[in-house]
Amino acid sequence: MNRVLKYAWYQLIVILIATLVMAATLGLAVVYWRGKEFSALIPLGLFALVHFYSLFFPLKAGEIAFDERDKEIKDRATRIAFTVLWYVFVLACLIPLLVIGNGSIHVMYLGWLIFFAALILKITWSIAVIFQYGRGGCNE
Amino acid sequence: MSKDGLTNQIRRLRFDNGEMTQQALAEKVGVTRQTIIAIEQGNYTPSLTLAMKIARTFNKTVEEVFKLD
Repeated sequence: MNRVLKYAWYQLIVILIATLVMAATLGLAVVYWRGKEFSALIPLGLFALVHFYSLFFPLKAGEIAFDERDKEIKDRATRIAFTVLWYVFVLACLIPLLVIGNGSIHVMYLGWLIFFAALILKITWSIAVIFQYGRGGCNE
Repeated sequence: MSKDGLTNQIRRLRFDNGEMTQQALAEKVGVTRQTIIAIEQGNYTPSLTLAMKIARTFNKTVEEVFKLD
């Protein structure tokens, strides 16, 4: 499997695990730790694992891990991810306006907006990479 | 054939050159084996630089390796 493709799968799996653990912790926090629901955010630290890819999958000596085709796929995936992010961001800004109208939003909304923006960017990027390799490389 | 009508003789040339493997060709031109597979299958159109490197590996001109139909 191509290294960029492997990274995309790795990133998706890390995000999935971190989200599942966070959901489980949130469930426990709501039931057992009333008032401490923010502790459910601790498992989000697992997202940091995304940056340790090279540690878990070191480059073999002499291995060619990245070439012009990978760069093209990565660049296209980045463009797709930012386009999706833009639409999500516009929706996230318009929805409170349509729902609340002239009222106010909680200050945490902005924090969550940035967090979910980063998450959506990573997920979309990974899916775009997987889709592009999958389309052109069924016999790879 | 690729979407832009480009065909290539890489597969035949590899076999004509001592049954060179895709991995060996990939290492000679500095790309991954997956890229060689994608080019052979017509799923990827290489850059001019890569096309020239591939042609040079087989001692051919770019036109002898790649043809635009």
